[in-house]
Amino acid sequence: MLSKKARIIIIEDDEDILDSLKEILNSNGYEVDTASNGEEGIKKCRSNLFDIALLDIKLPGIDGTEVLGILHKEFPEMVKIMITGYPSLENAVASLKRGADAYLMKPVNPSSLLKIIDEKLSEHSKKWSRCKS
Amino acid sequence: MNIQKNGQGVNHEEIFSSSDLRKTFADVMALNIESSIPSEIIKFFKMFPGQTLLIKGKPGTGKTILSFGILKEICEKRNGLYLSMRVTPEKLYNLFPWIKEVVPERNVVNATPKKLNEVLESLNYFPGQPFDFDAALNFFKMLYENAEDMDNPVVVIDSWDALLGYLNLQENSVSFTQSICDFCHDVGTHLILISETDGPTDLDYIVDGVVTLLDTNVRGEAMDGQPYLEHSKSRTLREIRIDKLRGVKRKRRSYVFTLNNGQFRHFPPYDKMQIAEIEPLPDIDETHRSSGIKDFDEITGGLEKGGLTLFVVEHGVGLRYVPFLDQIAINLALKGIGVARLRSVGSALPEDYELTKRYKEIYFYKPESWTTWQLEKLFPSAKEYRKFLETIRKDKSDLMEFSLMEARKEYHNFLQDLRRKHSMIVEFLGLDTFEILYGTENTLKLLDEAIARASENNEILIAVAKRGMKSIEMITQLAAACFVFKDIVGSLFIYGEQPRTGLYNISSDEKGIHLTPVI
Repeated sequence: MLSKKARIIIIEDDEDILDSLKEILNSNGYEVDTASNGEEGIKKCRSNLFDIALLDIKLPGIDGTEVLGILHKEFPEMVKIMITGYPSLENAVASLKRGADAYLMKPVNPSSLLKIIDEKLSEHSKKWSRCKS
Repeated sequence: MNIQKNGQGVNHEEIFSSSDLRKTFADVMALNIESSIPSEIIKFFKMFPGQTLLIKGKPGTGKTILSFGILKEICEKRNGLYLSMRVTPEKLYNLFPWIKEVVPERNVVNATPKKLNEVLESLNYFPGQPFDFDAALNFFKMLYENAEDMDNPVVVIDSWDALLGYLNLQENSVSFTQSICDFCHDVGTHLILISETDGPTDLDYIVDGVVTLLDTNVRGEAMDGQPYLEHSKSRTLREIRIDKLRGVKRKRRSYVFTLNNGQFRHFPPYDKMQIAEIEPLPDIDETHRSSGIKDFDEITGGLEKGGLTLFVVEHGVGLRYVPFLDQIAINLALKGIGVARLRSVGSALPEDYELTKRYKEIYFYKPESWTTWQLEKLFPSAKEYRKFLETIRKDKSDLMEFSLMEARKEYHNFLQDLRRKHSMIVEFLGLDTFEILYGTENTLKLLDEAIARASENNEILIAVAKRGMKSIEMITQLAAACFVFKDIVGSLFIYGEQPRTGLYNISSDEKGIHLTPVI
């Protein structure tokens, strides 16, 4: 299955959350890389190919929704999932406008996360295969 | 005049030689759908020789003009023959000078009672005597003795009621009419009878075709609690109803028509409005801009600066009104005026892309706050979305308010951007989009703001409202001018509520949009 081989980058400044997310995804067959701030995340995305980015909204330096905007512009085919411990209408709308595919509130439910990754990967693969043909 | 009786039976081989038949079918196939007369009627006459058509209608409904219109379409060699019992030939030529093309002066027969009695006396006819076939033949021959010689004339008798009255033949009208119709069938002469009534008559069963002209009204929409206004808003509507055309399939039961410029013109269903390359029309005066539609400017005096010009779209119009607004936008764009367009719901057309590509001054604005309503799709489930709303302590009305603020801010930014590029900006607002997104009250607030901007900048403001909108009555109250798009039996019409105008048909060609009055 495509989702099991997918490469994921997690951009998150909270180390505990980063580790637990990495463990959940690794144990489900995903290849995972991490970044602790926006600049590092963007850099890694430019030098490696990722199918999915998990982005925390509140990041040191560049804000998560700004990183989202940059990634969406440069890698439109990448699935972008926003994660936040500070949900608000403003950051949800900003996420939607800047190209997020999903918006999850912390604490993240592992089964919800895996389900949404699976769904979005298959949606994207269909969308992009249509675009290419 | 050469009327030849073929004997008791019609010799069809003689009438339909193979070349004639080919010609007849070719004629039928070549019928111009833009003909001024409904194509079914022309097809009816081209189908067989000797067709009889009854045109019914009350006085002033356009029966005479229709009969001349039919003659114009089907007479190829000035072979129309008009028997007038109501109007003198001189008056007819004065009223309709164009009929000379189809009916030579000598062929307008002045059938006064005196003349008719002379004819009957010479036939040794006495009142009450049944009118037989030979008598009918002789009657016609004598009536037309002064007419020009011609083959296969098309005869109009205007009116049949008057003829029966003059001849005191009301009692024998059925046998007389039957004889005349049989005679016309046999000699292959088309006959058009005009009747002064619009109700059912015995003649309906004898003739091959019946059409009725009706003078009705199109009513404005009654406002709540003000039904008396409805009557005052009625406008003249002329309708031709095709009751029967033996052998011809009716496309529609009725059509709207006009008698504009003394000519009959029906309005077939029309759904392909074109966007034309137009030449810019200059402003009417200091206070009025041109709409870019010459006919509309002539009727309304142009679009007033500093106020709202509202277009109300009635049910059934669909998107046919959009090219009308496009032409207004194009005219402004050609003069270098920036056009900010917020489309009505569902009216985004593929042509929008072409329009913006061709005219750099036209911009379409899509309210970004639609995104607020799309938020739900970001969440893995409805349950998660509800949890999000509870967490942020927002409900649907907060979302709407948030959407409105966002949209207002973005729209103002959009207008500001345009102002940097153009010294003058005209806004086109689809108010139904506002109402769906932000509710009735907010729609009025946003519109009020837009009116204030137009007034401040001394510029025109165009808005579209759809019938069925909750805020439509209040919106109408805010408009300096209000026009209504309406579908009537498949054709598109417009009329002015303020200023009050009659009904106009909307059509388009390569030169742009045209309005034809229904008079």
